[in-house]
Amino acid sequence: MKQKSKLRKASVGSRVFDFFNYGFMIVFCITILYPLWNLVLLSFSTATDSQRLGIHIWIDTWILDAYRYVFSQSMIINAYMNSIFRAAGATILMVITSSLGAYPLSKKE
Amino acid sequence: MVVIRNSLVLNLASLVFSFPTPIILALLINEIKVFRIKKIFQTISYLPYFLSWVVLAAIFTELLSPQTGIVNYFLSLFGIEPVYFLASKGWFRPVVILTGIWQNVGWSSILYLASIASINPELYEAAEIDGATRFHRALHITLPSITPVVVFCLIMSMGSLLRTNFEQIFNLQNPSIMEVAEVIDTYVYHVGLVSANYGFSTAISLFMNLVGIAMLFIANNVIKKFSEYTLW
Repeated sequence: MKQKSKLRKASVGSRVFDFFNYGFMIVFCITILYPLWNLVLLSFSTATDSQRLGIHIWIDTWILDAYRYVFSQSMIINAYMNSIFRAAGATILMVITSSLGAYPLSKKE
Repeated sequence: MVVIRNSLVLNLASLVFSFPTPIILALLINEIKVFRIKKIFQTISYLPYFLSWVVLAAIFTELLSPQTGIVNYFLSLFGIEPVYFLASKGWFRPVVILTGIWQNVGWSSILYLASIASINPELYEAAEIDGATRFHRALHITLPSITPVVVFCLIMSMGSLLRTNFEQIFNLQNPSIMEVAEVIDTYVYHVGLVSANYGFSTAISLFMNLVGIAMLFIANNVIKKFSEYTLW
């Protein structure tokens, strides 16, 4: 027998709270995403554009000069390999030793 | 000493403000009914945790700068003079605390969200039948159910009372605010490692560790009197 689903109308307070909750979440996400988006835009913009006052939502001229300069440094490959090696090695070693060490600690006696 | 005072003040103020924030964020995210939107918000909220402070210091130096920064741009729209946030002694601590919260709130709220997800939904239904509003349900069911996790996190953060985030403070420091910006970690770095005064830095780290262990014991015994969710 099919059950009739009774959709209870949410109270006014509940809907107001939902409205403010979504609003707060959207503002919060903008404060997290905007600095990162600003960074991306700055990395592609010209030198004069980066000093422009105000909110950067979009830029007109996309330039790869900054990236060209970064990748022309010879130490960058070294730095990347160091970081990756450290992160991967540390994670693997930490997982292995932590799980081995947690086993005796989890015993009751 | 000035350095210990800076450390303690920063840590205590940051504890007061950044300890409840992940709990509140977890409660708010929990109230979102649509599953996909909840997951999207959660993912966005813990994005900043993975950025290193070298990158974040560059971002914040640019965002808070008096000429081209967006915060000062908004202030100028309201007619307030532009404030040089990172070079004023009064604003350094709020900047450190707020950016610390910005970075950590999403990550810390994962723990609380995981423990909220393990609450028996029959409790909620029973409360709804009894006439509890959403606020009542959050206050009287959700919060008491995550009390063990909250107490555990509180005790753990008590143990690191003298330890501040070295990366954050070191990257946000500049010579004009050294009086409020020098904490134990950066002081040990400047005196102990740059000047090769190794004995001094070892002594300070030993001192910090002992104070941390003592705080852990004290916090555990104090909380034992109030609830049974302690470490031992």
